[in-house]
Amino acid sequence: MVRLLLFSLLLLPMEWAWAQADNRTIIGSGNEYLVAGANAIRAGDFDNGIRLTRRGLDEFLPSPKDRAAALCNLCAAFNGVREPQKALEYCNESLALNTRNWRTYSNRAAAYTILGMYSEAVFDLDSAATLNPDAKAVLKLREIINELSLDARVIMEDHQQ
Amino acid sequence: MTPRPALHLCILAALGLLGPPAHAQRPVSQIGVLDPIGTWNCLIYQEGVQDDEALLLRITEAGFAEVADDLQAEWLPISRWRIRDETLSFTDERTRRRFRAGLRGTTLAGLWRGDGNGEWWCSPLAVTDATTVRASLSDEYEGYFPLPKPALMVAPRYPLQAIRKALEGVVVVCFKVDAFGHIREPRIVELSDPIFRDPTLDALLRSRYAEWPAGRERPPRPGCRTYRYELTQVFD
Repeated sequence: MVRLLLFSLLLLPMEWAWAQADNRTIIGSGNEYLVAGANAIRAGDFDNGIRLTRRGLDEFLPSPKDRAAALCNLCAAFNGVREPQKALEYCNESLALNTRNWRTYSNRAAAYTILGMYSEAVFDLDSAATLNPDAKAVLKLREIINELSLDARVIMEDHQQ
Repeated sequence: MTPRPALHLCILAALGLLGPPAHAQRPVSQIGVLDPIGTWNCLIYQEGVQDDEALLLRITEAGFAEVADDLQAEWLPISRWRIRDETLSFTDERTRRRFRAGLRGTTLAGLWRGDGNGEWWCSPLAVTDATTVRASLSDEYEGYFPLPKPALMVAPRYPLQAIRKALEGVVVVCFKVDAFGHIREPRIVELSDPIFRDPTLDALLRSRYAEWPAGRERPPRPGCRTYRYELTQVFD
């Protein structure tokens, strides 16, 4: 159940999500590979998403902001194929270019969660929440981390009234 | 130090601080200083120990603290008592526990120290014979006795939604236990979050106490159980 939830939390930068619906967007224009890669990842076709996004990064020269978004997508995709170490590399690379994308922090938190590194995950979630306090994906991932990382117990004690 | 109860009592009486004797069932004087002389039904709590101890205590005008902890027992002197700074103190020589109780409260209660430490609390009784006391306790004072021992303590499940939200809490439920050990009439007296209500009541009503010894009619005994829902991080 938790794994399913983690898959459902793969986060793509909103720019790529909008790219198809809104042709006026500038980000990603002229780099159809990045757009197609983003859509493939959103559809759960992680292998194709990774291939297309990498090609978009290799064959074109996206702006630093687009590059950061593409790297964030790759981070999400490698979480999807259960390769959290690679996901971490891409998230770190993305954050080196753009520290203001809450989705990158959230994706890295998901990678840490898969690795069982819950304190790091919580730290990144806090960063994501600072940038976007209302993000439902962040709240959901925090619930998953709580479920995985909290040890619950009930102490009972009898006494007189 | 050798207690001088008569002198203390004389001083208190001269100051008008003593109420009527305990056998008149009026242990608290008009200005709020407790007269400890009399018979008391006491509960002794020890930190870290779940079961309370029941004890019949008598503070005599002759200067002795006496106990009767068995149905057929005679009053057994455990030490002399003394009052200093409106604090009653005596020692149970059997257990080496030193009891102290401030006399400004509404009843005889305080702290004890010795092999462990804890609190004690007493309610006044009007009788002085241990056997008679026990007989009278079967009715109106039954509630001051410890609960029967739990025969089955069912732990509630921690609500998953509470874990996800990192929610801790406390629930206190009071109830009655019938002679067969069944829990009756539970009522929640403290509830930190409604999410803990159902699992608590579900666990409580599946719990059992040991049956009481048969032999005579036994009214239900009141008791309470506190449930503390706690979470701890397993990382770092």
